[in-house]
Amino acid sequence: MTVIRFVKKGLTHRYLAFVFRLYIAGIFIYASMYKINYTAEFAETIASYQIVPYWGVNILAVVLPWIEVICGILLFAGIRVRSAIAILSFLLLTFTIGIYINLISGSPISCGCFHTIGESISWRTVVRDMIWLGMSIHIFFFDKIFQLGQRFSFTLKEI
Amino acid sequence: MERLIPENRQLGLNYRRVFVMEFRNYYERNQFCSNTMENEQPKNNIKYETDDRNELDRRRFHADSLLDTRREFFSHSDQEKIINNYLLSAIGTLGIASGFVCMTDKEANKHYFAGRGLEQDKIEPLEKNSKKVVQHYFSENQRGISLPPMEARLIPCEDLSDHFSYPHKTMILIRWTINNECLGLTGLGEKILPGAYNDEDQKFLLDLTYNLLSALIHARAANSIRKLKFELQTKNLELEDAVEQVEKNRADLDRRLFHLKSFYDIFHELSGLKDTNRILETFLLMIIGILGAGQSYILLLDRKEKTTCMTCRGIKNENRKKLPQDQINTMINKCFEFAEVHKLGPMNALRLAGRSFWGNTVRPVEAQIEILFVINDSYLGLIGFGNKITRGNFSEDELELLMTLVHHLMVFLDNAKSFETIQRLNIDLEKRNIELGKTIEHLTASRHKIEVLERAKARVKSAIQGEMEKAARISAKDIILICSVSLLLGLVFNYANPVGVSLIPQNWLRKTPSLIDLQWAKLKHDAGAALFVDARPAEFFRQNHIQGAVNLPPALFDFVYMMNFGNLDTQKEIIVYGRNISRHYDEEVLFKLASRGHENVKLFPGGFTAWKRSGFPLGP
Repeated sequence: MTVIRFVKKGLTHRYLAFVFRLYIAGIFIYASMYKINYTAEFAETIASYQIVPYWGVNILAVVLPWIEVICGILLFAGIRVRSAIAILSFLLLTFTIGIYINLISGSPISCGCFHTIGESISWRTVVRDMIWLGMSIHIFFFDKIFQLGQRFSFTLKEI
Repeated sequence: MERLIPENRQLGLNYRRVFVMEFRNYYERNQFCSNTMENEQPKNNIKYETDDRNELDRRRFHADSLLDTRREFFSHSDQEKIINNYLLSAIGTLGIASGFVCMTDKEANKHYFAGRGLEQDKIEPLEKNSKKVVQHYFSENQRGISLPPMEARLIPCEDLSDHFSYPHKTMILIRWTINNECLGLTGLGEKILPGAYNDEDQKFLLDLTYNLLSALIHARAANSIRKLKFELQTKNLELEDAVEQVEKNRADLDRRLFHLKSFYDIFHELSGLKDTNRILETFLLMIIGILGAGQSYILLLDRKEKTTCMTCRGIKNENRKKLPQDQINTMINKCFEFAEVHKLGPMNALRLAGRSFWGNTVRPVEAQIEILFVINDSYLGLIGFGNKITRGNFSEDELELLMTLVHHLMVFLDNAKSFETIQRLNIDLEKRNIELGKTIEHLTASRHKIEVLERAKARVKSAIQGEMEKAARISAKDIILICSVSLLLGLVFNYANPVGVSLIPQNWLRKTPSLIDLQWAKLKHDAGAALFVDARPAEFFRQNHIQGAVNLPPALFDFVYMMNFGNLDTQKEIIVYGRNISRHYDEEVLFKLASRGHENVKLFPGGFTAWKRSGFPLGP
């Protein structure tokens, strides 16, 4: 029982959530850099998933990297963590579903997560995205430290 | 007293007039008797005339004796002398050998006794028992019966009581009363000449006794008058003493009134004053008027501040000495030392001993009388007076009045000092009130500011709490905001990016290309009349494609066209296919081919999916 409790405590520890938060933030910021610079290529990647209608692919390619970078920054800074991680979790879930669908349909597409020409989608990619999604959920529930919003609590105490 | 004497004289004259009238009656009665006798004995006229003459002489003698005795009676006021004269007159006139008179005066509680011609052994028991003798014959008075006033009555010798040892041969007894309080008894012995008491003798004795009663009344009245006069004199003396005392008291009251008036005047004048100098001037002006002093001064010494305050009246300025500060200090120290030595507490005053007190100490003014008064521990004064205007000395009363007024002055000076202190405190208080008002204003402003800040704090706190709550939960607003910002940034960046993408699909702007359906496409394929171009990405082409199709993805159009389509006839019919939900690759390639001069290019919308579903040949 003690071991289980220790493991449970370790898994739900807020520092673990903080590490996950920095990790996810770094991944998304990093991924968004390429996507912002190469919008057309990212649009092709989105189109290759055959999920988004053709009239929304370019707009999504323009907006999605910025959503990623802003959420990554907010996550890194600890501002509106839950909203940011919720958005990122939704994106990860969407990506995972897209990859899963394309895997099932046998589409020979690349992941396009970080580069246009990258590894093709695979179950490994699905697992990776699911791990990231798990991290996001952990962050959503257990991340409580080093948040800029907590600065307000100090301010309140001072007041 | 002066009026009583003529009245007594008048009374004497009246008695005398009555006596003359009585004598005339007596004479006429005797004359009538003699006439009667003449009628009865005409033959013995000569003898009878001689007897009548003797009788008349005797009567005249009785009358003269009565008159003389009456004169004698009224010349005395002593009852004892009157009784003695009465007895002597009775004995002398009638030629009686012995006699006595007893009298009891109950009012004065006195008993009188007079005896003549009696042996000593007879006098003593009578004198001793005189009271009892009288009481015996006035037994009805002892029983409470009122006696007739002014009555004289003969008692027969047979009635003489055997209880008392009356003198030998007492022939007649006369009981007489003046009133219930004054009673008497007269006893007379035998006549010297042989013979009994006849009616004339008895008549004479009764008349004499009535005269005695009148004389005794007169004497008692005179004694009463004399007593009253004495009492009146005593009362007069007491009255004079009382008047003298009243005069003295009146003078004392006048003096007290003057003092009180002085107090009142000074109190009235000083009561409205609050300034020390004005109090001193007014007091000095009034006190020299009350005492009649020619010169006077008041000097106040303040030990704390080492200052003096002086007010003078009747002293010329050249006679006033202006003292340097060290001499003032010396004078102050001397006065306070004197007060301490004599234990002169606050609100007390003491007269100084003049020059012997000051010694060599220089004073502003020389004075005859000086009084030192202490108002409090650090504040005392000197009041001095020169000679009086009348060149006389001050009386003890004036000095007493002066001391009292000085005490009065001390109270006013203390009040003035207190008033000055209060005024000073009021000014300080006013200043402090102003400062306090400013402080209160500042405090009010600060409080207002604090309230504003408190409200701001509450708002900030509320906002922060709101922000914290927001940060702790998912906010649709945040998500919308993030998405909106991302959209804005993406659009701006894409607009500024030279390799940005078009947000509007290009096929919406182009003409609708010529289409070919599945059956026609199959026919063309079977006939080999058309070149099938697969516009999908190479990965999809490699995965599967329409048999005989050539891969020309839009992304690599220029490179692949140059490699594979450079020598192709522009009139060659080309059927382009390859689209999905996200991309219309076929349209892009079609328009690019058209732009390269190929005129017979047709779009196969069904594409690979319809071809494959129809079971048409696939493969390389």
